[in-house]
Amino acid sequence: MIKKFFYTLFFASLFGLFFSYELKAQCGSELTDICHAELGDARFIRDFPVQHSEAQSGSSPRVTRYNVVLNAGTTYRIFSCNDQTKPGKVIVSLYRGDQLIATTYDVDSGRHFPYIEYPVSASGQYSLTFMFKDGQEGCAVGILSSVR
Amino acid sequence: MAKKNVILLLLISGVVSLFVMSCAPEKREEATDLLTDTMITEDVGITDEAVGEMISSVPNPVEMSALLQKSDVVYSQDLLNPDSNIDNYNTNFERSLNLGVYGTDLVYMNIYDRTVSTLAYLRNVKDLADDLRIGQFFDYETLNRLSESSRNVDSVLYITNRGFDNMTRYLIDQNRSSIAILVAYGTWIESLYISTNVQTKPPNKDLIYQRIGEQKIVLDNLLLLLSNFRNDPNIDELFMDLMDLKKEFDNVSITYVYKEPKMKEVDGSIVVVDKSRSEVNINQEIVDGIARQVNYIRNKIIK
Repeated sequence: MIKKFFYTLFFASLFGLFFSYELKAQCGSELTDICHAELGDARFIRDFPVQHSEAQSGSSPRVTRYNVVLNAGTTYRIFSCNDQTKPGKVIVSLYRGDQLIATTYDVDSGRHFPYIEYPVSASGQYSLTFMFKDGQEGCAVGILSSVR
Repeated sequence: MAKKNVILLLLISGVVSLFVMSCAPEKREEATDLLTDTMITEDVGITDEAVGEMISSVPNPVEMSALLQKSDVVYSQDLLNPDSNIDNYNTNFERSLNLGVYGTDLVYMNIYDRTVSTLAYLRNVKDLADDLRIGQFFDYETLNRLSESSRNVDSVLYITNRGFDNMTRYLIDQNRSSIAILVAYGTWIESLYISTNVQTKPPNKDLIYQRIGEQKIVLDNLLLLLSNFRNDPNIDELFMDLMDLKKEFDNVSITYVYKEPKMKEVDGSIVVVDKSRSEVNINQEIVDGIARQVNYIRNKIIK
């Protein structure tokens, strides 16, 4: 009986350890690894981890911005992956100056898209912005990659 | 009896520890400058967020190396910073710059499938990162193992690039932005050095020259970034060197025609259709001028 109890305790502890690792593992480098597996034949260039706490009611959702220089003649794929343990879903938008080029969220249909593919024809400085829908708490990673 | 066992165990542990310590690689010399502790972003009036935003615009060397390889440019080992030069780098300033240089060389070698020859460079990256107390971002053992086969090139590049990205973020978070900026500087100069010194031939020569010309945009960003750290005399010198390089890049003109981009859904993802275009006006003479100044800066870095 006691033996059975200790076995149960042992496996429960193992499960707990594994589960807590999984929760922790989602946000950070591990999330980049998970997202990297989605790239297929695209080549990893850079990752952009984003973690936001829930926006205060009445205030605008926080936006994180990164500048990138994109080159003409290259087709880029910008992936995004969410930490499933957090409620927020990331919206990635690509801008050239103030001009919106593309976004992973369609306001009309309410759909999120996994990546943006952009065959660049004008080299220059672009920016990627990351925010979580409705200012929810979230953790995500964006990956800039190039199609070979 | 139990006491005797404990003493025996302690003795064995001591002998094992001594053995392990004696087998560890020779410890490298301590840095002779205090760069990491003296340059904090609060002193320079720029936020960590802004530094991170600007550093991300410095291109990853993968892009330039991949372009060279795709353009059938012949691999040239002679262009790389000799791995033995690592012994010359005794300050955090030199180590940061050359971490970027060796990192770029490593990427260049991997893109050209020279994975087996990368070990010395991998070791240098790890050693310099250890010296700068950021060695935790480079998993030497895994990279070493993966480098044994050219089939693992993508994994090696991914782990290396992710390591550099994580390292940059960590440095910025730790108020050690100047180190991150120096690594980015070394990375960019080495990439530009390789691309301006490789043997190119038509028709891909024009494409490579265009890419060199496009670095004008990156140069402007780097100058802006460095301008916030000029209270350090070493960084001020790098800034002035880039100002001289800017004189050469001023001969490059880039013209743009912007059109309204359109988004369309293809297979559940967003594809952008953009008819905008950019045109880079650059010629052999301009490239030669850029190459001369880049060679001068790069030779100062690696000496």
